Amino acid sequence: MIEERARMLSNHPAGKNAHLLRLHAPSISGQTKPGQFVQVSCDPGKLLLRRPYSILDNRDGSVSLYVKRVGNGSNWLCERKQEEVLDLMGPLGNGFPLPPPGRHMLVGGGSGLASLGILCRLLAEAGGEVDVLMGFRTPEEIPGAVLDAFSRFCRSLTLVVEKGDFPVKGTAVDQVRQQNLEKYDEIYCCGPMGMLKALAPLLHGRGALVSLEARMGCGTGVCFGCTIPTRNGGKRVCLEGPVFCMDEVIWDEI
Amino acid sequence: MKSDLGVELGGLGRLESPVLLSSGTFGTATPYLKMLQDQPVGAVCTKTITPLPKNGNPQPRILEGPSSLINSIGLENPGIDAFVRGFEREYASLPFVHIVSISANAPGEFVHLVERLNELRTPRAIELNLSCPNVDSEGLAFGNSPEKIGSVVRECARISRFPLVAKLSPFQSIDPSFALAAQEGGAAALALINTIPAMVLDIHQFRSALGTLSGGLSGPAIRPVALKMVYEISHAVHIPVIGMGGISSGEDAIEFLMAGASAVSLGTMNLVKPTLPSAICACIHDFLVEHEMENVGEISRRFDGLQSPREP
Repeated sequence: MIEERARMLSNHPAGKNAHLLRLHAPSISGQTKPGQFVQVSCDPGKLLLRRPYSILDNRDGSVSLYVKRVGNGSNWLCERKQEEVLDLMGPLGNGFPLPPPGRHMLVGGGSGLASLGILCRLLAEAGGEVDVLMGFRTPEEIPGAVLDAFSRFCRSLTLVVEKGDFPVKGTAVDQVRQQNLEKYDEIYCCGPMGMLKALAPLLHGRGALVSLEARMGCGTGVCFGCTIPTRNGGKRVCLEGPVFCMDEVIWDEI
Repeated sequence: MKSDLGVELGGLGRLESPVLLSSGTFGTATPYLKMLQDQPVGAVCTKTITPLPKNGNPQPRILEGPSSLINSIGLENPGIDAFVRGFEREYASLPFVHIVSISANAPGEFVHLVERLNELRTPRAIELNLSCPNVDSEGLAFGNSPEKIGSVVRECARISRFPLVAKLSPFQSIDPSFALAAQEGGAAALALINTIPAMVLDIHQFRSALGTLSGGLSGPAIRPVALKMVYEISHAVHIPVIGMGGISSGEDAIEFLMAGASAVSLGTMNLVKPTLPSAICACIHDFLVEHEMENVGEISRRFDGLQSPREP
């Protein structure tokens, strides 16, 4: 865990209202485990708190971030140019454990899919079979460049879209409902809270892991701003998470 | 000339750095401590401990505003029993001087907490949180009159093995009556200021934007308010004042020292930049050298308010 000045290597649009950022941050990159995140200082002097972003990829001394425009911080980030320097703190959070090779399903929605990127690659490189299922609201939101982080490693990549012209219509939850879940050794999810709440009963008892997004104060475990209720008491998303056992989280109380 | 960044904090003794870390923003989580190692920190203050464990408030607990943060954490903590059990493992080996922050609902409960802390060896002091805006009554109940502040401090001081720091907030008024009551009750130092009670509404949902009705405001936005309170109170009491409230740079810290604080403490900015103490100490050091001062205490002695004509 360190603070690192990171130079922007590239910044490209990735679907509607989102960007894929690649930053040169060799120290953070070298320590990153799948599912961890960085705290990014956005518009310093104007915005007070850092913003947490999952690390989509960490190859070649860089970290890649998938940033959706949702407010002042993300808008500022999306507008940074090549060679600009950002202040990152990380890697943070527990991350995903890496199980023995097997059959894995990754379910992602919206910006949540970023936390599954490194996991997909490492599972595949370890000899596992990875099926990826991703849901988007509209076809325009599909972030082609971000999908590369998955499509090059997974066995199958299924995209599903809620509204608009697209071959597979519906939600990621609909798709999970149609799957034969028995064939998977491990299931991993990340996405909007509505999606996760709908998935929780479908995946109950299967040992599924979920990576949560949260509004954070510090990101380092000291402020207790991101505590969520679990069956084992309150847990900090930034420290004891962001990865939790799906069945451990008390979804009704979030 | 060698400048000394150490400060004498009355009954608390000497601290090697004038920069402290405020309650609720220091913790022993590993990622944070890694960032903090080698930082010149005079002392750290634990999260406030209450008699019983507290789960804290519902989400959302954190809102960012212009140069500010509103929190309604709600004193989430494991309670005094678990704190004392884990203390040796968690705090005693820390490379930092530590102060334990406590809060409770009744004078007898405060006394009970102090009795439990008397079992410990290593704390430098106990901070009485008499001003947390985020719980129904803890702290705040005692905050509403100088008499109550005085009596809680007095009862704790009677039995405490450790010097007491009374933490106050501007809602207790900027006049020094509360601070004087704490001083007369036996406080060894004052911590000024706690967060300021504040609200944000979600107008589209006709409800509070926080998980609770209101929270506590902190960050650079409250700095001038804190500075005024530090100035007024430090000139009315004879015990040292630890100044805090939105300090985010060396210049900010010097401002508080000049207004009369004997030391400063970082809260909100400590969440954002745990490596701030070294930058602040470097700035204070340069300032002392530039103005040919030997120690931090000289900064406030040079301050003359509006006495001398302003330089053109």
